[in-house]
Amino acid sequence: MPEPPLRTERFGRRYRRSRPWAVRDISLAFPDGSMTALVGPNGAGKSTLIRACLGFERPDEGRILVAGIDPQRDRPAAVEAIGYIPQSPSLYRSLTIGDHLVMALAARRSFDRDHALARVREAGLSERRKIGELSVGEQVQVALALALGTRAPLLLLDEPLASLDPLARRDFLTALVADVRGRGATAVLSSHIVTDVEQACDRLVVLGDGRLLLDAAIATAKEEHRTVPASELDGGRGAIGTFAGPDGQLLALVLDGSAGRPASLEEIVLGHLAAARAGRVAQTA
Amino acid sequence: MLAAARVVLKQHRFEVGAAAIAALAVGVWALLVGLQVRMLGVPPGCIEAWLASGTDEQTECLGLLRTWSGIVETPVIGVMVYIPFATGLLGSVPIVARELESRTAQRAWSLNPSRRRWLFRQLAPVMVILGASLTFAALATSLLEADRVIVGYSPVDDLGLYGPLIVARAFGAFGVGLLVGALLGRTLPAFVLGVALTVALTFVVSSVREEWVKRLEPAVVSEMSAGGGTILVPHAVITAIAFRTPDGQQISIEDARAIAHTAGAAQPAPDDEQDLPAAVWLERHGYAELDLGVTMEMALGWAPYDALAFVIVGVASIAGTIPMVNRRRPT
Amino acid sequence: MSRTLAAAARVVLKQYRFEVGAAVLAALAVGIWALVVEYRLDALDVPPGCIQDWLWRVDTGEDIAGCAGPMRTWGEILTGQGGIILEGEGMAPFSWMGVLPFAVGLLGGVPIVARELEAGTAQTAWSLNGLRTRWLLRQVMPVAILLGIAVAFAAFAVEAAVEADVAWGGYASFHIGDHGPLVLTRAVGAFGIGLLTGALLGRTLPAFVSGAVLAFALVFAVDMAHDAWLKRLEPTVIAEVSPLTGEIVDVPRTVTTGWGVRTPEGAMISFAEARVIVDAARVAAPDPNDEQDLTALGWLEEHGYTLLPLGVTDEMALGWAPYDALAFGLVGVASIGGAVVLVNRRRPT
Repeated sequence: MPEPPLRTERFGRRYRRSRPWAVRDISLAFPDGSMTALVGPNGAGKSTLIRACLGFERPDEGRILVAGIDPQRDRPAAVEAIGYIPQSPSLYRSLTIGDHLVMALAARRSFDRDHALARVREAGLSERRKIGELSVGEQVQVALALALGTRAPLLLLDEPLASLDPLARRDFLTALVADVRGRGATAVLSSHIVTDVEQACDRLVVLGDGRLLLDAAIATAKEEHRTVPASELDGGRGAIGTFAGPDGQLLALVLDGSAGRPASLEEIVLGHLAAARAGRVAQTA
Repeated sequence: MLAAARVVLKQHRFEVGAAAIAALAVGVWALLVGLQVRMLGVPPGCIEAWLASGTDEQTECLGLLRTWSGIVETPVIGVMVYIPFATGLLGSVPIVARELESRTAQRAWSLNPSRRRWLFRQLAPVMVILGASLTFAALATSLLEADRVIVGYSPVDDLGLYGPLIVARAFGAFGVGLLVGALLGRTLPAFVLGVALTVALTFVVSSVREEWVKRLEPAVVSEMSAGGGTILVPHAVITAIAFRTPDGQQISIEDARAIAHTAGAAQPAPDDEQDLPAAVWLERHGYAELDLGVTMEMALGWAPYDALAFVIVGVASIAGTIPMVNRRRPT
Repeated sequence: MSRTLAAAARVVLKQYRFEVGAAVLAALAVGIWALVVEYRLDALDVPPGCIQDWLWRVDTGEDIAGCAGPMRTWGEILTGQGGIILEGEGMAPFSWMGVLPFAVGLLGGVPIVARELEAGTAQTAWSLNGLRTRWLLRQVMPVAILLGIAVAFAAFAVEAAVEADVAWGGYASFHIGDHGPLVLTRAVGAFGIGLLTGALLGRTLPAFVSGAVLAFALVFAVDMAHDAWLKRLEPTVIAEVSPLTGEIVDVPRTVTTGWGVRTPEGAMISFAEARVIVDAARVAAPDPNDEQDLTALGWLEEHGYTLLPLGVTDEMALGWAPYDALAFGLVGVASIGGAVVLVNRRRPT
């Protein structure tokens, strides 16, 4: 069986022995050609997981394999297989966009400067502009251009949408999807704006409290999960988790195919997160 | 307020710590040198007796004083050339520069409606710590200088390297560092530029000092004739050279050289700045070379101006930083 | 590919333009200053033989065939303008050439890793570059080459001033590290230290200050090793009778490493042995506070003993030069190696 572009085996990381685990017991396999939404609240461990793929974090348990390569054993090979957008753009303020393309080309022989430049121009930017003069959203576009320019088989994007306005988010995702689907690459896109990633992604991974809560195809998840008013359940039994709906009504996420209505992706995420929180509260109590 | 001050010191712990430790270390070093001198146990009246004897006879006292002189010939005073400036710059450069460089300025300036008040809250704890450290160093080096003067070192030569002037110089450097830090917004370049500017400032102040000393009314401080040299005023600062004719008249060096050449001394080579032929003729014909200068006390009168120069630069620089901080776009 | 590398090198220099610019300017300024000193000395057109004659006759004040004026001016240029770059000024113990390689090395080395970490751009750099070692070398090379050229210019521009100082009676061995290739090895040492402290601390100004302290400590340690090495060389008597004055004078171009005593019978004994003789003959106990034991020296002189300097020739003392280069070179290489390890292990902030 071919090695998936990204696989984790009971991956766990904590920053100090006295601190709780940032992530623990994460076992995932990202199918080739998939676009996965990595969703969870702040502190869920999304960035830790992504950074560990690049060798920026060292697993305290388990391992990560990037195209079968353990970044802890062969980091250069693992990094070469990845195009990355960090949580903040992390660009050189005194350098121009063009300078960044030069740096990327010197760093990776496979860097497609023309493709990256085309992406920059599509974003309405000139390569002569200095990073320090760009807005955060524009910097994110530059970071995307650099990531896409690597032509890497795996793209890891750590909350790239947070600083973008709705139109910019749409453009970003359109460009990303076109690139990924066009060349059969695999992408992992972490975000907490669930409605945006729903359009672009075909898989959903939910992390909460450093644990894996859900790993499923979006279509399958939507088929299987339903939402019912919590009052209709007998003491909440059978609910994965309960959460407040947009109008304040308490809703429950269930797997019962006959109950309620099909759950939206956001409700699926909220329900699983609620379940994780309830488990934490039960532990604390 | 105290908690906020602690946070400020924590922000800049490396620089403030390094600067304070450097100043304290030099102060302790100076005190240790003084302790070594005290442990010699020079008997009372020894120094006065030696000075009164005016000779270099091999006495027990002389041996002790030679040892004393060796002890106080210490690099501590030499190091004080750098310490005030290093301390001032290290303490001040990161205050604004680091906020801009690490992009925390927007956080800081959005929490603090008054950026001026923010700036002073950042400055105050740093200045208190560094001021205390440098004051300690200033006091310790003052004591050391007193021990040096006893065995013949000139406090004029050491001016600026001991006592309150250290604190004034550090203050000047502090202001310069704060200003360039706010200007450049990057710590290392600001530090480098700050060093260059303080070197230039020191050079300017030294040049002004030389001119100031030359303008003081000189007196004859030592005399050189065929029979030997006589020091009339110990520790004097020499500002000019004159000659005394055989009949006791004091004339300028230019007049003396003119007399020599008129009387037949060869004209000097174009590059002979000291006019050796004239000097030899004058010596052979009974002219005494006089050193003109000012007393040590008169020369030390520069000290307040030295302090004023650096304090003015410090105040002006800090004042210049305020509008800069108020106007800068936080990155 | 070479165009890409050249473009990448330009980007690197642009990243560090302030530090590299300041370092290059400093080196160029010192070099140009040294060339001005050389020009002024050459312009004097000192007649041949003046220097040697002048050194012997300077105390008598006699004018020898037009030498006096030019030689005095020559000396003033050397000790004035030339002295600033070679010997320091006033209370400041460091000369420009003493400081230059360290200032340049630290300015060039510190920001390479420290700024990436401080500015938070390390994750971009290290996510684009699979091999962090290669990334580091690509950052280091353009900076090192440019600074190397600037320092080399200064190092070789100052040669004429050093030669003039040696001709004037100075010691070539005192200028070890002030000129020529040894300036470059010192700069390498400082560069490595700066790179390492930058990678360790991840902040530019603390790394620069720490690097300066470490560089100073290294110089101090090398100086101590130098002194110990000199003392291990086989010394000879380095004094002779002046043909002009009849007095005992130091042989030119020698370095004093100790003292010996010639007995009235003409035998050479060590100073320690002479002190034993004094102690055996002395009526009064030695003064424990008189470190130079002037009383003993006085007794020896009165009884026909002659204190003579022992030492080695300047050429022998110059034998330290390779060790000086080795010391700084090793520290530089080891520090760069350490920086490579650190860069590979660090978590990018």
